Amino acid sequence: MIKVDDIAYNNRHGAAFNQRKRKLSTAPSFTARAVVPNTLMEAVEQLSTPKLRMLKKLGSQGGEIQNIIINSIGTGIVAPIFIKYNWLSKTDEDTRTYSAWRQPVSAVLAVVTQCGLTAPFYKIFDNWANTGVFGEKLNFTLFNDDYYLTKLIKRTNPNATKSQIADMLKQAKANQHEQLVKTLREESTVKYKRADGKTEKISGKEYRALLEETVDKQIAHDTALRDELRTTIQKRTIRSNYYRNHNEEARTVLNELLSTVEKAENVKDIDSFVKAKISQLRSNPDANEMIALLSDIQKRSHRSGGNKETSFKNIKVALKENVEKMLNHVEIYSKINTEDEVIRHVQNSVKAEILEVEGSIDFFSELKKSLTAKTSIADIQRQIDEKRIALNVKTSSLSKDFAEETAKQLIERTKAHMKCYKQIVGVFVSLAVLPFTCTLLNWIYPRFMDMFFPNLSSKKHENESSKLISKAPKKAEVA
Amino acid sequence: MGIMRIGRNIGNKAYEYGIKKPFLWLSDMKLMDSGYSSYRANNRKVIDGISIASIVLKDGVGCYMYVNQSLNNDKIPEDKRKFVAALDLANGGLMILAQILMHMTISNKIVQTKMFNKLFSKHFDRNALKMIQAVLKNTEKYNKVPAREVAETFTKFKGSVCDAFGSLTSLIAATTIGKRVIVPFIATPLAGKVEERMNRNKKQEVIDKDTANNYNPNKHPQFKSSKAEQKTEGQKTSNLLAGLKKV
Repeated sequence: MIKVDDIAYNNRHGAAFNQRKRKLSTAPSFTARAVVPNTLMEAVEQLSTPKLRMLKKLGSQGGEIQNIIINSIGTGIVAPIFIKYNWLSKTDEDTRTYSAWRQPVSAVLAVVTQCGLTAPFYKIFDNWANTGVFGEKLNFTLFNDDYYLTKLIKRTNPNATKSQIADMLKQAKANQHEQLVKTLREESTVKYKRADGKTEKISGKEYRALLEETVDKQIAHDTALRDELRTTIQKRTIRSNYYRNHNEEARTVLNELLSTVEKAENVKDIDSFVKAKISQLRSNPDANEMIALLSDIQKRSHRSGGNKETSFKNIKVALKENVEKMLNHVEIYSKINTEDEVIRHVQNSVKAEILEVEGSIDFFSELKKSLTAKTSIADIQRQIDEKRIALNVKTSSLSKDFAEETAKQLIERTKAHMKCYKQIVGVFVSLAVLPFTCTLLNWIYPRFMDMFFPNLSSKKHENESSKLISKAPKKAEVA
Repeated sequence: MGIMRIGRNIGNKAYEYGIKKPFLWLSDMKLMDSGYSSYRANNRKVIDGISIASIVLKDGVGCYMYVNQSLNNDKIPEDKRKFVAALDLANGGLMILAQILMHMTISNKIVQTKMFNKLFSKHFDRNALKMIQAVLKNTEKYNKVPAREVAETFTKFKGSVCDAFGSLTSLIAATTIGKRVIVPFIATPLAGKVEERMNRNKKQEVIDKDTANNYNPNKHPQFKSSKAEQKTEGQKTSNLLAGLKKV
């Protein structure tokens, strides 16, 4: 006996249902969970200048279609001016005007063909990546892009407001990321979703390459940190020596600075004190370090400290802490007698950090050698945890979660693949569209000129001929 | 309905075999693997090489097609056809050069980063970071965030502003000023030269003395235009009927 389910699955609607079910299985879930917004980034943005915020906003709004339109405005409006009014050209103006009109016609066609043919190709590639038509190298199903997720959210929540959609988008992204990290941590694999509804695990070759790249990233991070610490030692040694050699002078100037900061009502108060002090110190060749220090304080005082009402208040608090820290250093180095002792003291102040970073670099370098296609992420994390305790880790890559870092690396490498694919395949797409654009332009352009500018085109000759014929003496008159 | 279904089937097959299969095959090609690894490692030499090769290929083929079609387009007046084709050729050639030049300069990531640092470095230097860290440390919400995390977020913010700066400078300087002002400005006089070169090899037509045009406008003042009189001998005109215009 045939079950109702079987009938439903075997008819046309059943097939459609099956297809929809498969589609839904590749779609991320939008179940409610506490939204974790990117607040630190927003806080950092708020402490920058409005000019930078505007720049970021302008840059982030530039889509492909927008670029095509701007490009076409350039072709259609700017270029013809430089063809028609070109004083360097000896060709007659009629011909130049006739040729200049080719530009706006071609610009309109470019918008039509690029928006209608080229851009949809890129949209198709994005769609294939988001739905799992592409294989592991270009598969975005575990970290769908914002455009695709928003489309899905709008489809499932047609009445949602803009802010609700934004919240759901953040939520969906957080869910996807959490799932990706969980699979990496617990199963040491990546489970891609494919368009046919199946799940496909990452290949051994790709998994090993992913682990190697993640480890390389940690080594690069720690190497940069080590170089930064070495620079800090050099700078700190110079400043600490200055505090030791000119202890009284440093104490006096910093105390004056502290009281100025405390009393300051606006940034100008700090500015005028620093300027006066620097000009006073210029005559002293040993005061270069103090001048640099004051100049740093001046630069810091000009930073934005948040919104208008609280900005200067926040700046004042931060500067006060800064100067107090410097005074503390002056105190410490007043008790140190020799230059060697200063060097030792400075080195000791960052010794623990340097040791930690160097230990981390060694650890990851060794780890890289042992990686195979079957290395478990849980095992790597266990080794990291052991090392973390041994080194009393604070800043190095050992403080990070390895599964999280691997997930970040997977997203980064897949996006790099897509960039490469679009660049190379874009050539084929453009070449395929070219004969169409070219033929269309050659068909439309002369007809457009005949219609709107008969005086410039061949129509002029026809018109002139007919005028001449009408004016020519008739046969009877000649006779 | 039947025709609709056949049409849909043909469309699906065309999509499957004309678009999907070839582009999926391209994505898994062995050759693509080396491209992918270069993009992953941010190997500038390979990335720039691929970009320049794609510019030359796309614009080169495009230029050839446009010139060829313009030269053979009977609808364009004969006296202007060669100039239109010459302008296409000069424009195409210069566009390839300009794009390569811009790719290596204003649109280049390294150059853009240098320009960005020159203009905005004071907003992203050590002082700026230290101040942001200090201000955030005094806020209730972020006082427990480690300084290193703030530094990493700050670097990310710098990266996104730098990317925005890069795309905007490319759009304004390269796309608008470079490609639409400088290129047509040089291409127009150059097209005149190219046109002259095209005509150089054209054979002078031998006119039989019996059929030669002996018409002298001075002997027929009724056909002499005032504009034609004003034209000096050295001036060119593309329209042979221009002299008869105001009869």
